[in-house]
Amino acid sequence: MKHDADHPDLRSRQFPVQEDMAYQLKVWRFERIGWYLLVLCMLLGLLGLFSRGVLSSQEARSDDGKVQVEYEMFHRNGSTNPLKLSVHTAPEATVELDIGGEMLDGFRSKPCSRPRCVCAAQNRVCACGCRLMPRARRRSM
Amino acid sequence: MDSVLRALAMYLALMVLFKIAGRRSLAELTTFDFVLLMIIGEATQQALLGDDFSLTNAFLVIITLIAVDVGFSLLKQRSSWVSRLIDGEPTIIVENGKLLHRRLRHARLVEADVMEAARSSQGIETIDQIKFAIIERNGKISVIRQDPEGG
Repeated sequence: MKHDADHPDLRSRQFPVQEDMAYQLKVWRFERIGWYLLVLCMLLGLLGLFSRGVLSSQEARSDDGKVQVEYEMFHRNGSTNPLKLSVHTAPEATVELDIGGEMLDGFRSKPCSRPRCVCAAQNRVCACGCRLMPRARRRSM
Repeated sequence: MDSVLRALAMYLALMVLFKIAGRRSLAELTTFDFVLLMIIGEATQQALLGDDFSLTNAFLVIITLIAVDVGFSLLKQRSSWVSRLIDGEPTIIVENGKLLHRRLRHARLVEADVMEAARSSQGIETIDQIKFAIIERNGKISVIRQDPEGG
């Protein structure tokens, strides 16, 4: 860049306008680096750093393989993301699913719109959560 | 409260983005640039208003945007440093009929852009007839004709 600034084309002129080429070169450099950053953001967005993509979509499974969760690691404030819970059980059986309070912190969940809290009176510790009781359907496969 | 913060955040983010895009990016609006601008507006609208489509919210957002804009222009008037930071400076790209190629390259311009501006504003046919061509702060290229007796 030093060599570049010494080029006669890039020396400051005083007429017809007062120039400060050192500053202008900085502006051009800012534009170039900014462009690299924009492209980087675009690529990270494609990969899913800002939710919904390879980096963000995760899947977890319980040890016995009965419960499976598909979720997003990154969320957007004010946006909606699905959290898919799959439970393998006998057909027509009713499943009890307890969702812990920590999970509902900072989120609004449609099926758990009003989580219930249980408090122990002596030490004022509360535990909130919600209980879902979906009925299993026979899988048509 | 959040609509004011939203508007502030969007104003600043757009300002930085358009600084990165450079002063030339939207100076000469082609039809495509115009469509692009509308799409940017559409994308911005949702984030600005959120899920509140009330008149109050719209007013708050507009008031904030105009207030910040006026605030910046006052600040620019007071301090030349801020003015230079926000508006930039004019840059000469043709001097006495000679293109300053290094500058053109940095400004992402080609000779055709300069000649287009020269033809449309001054009716100039060749580059020798240009005394000075300058990228102004708003991104437009202004052209000063060579004196007839001088060249």
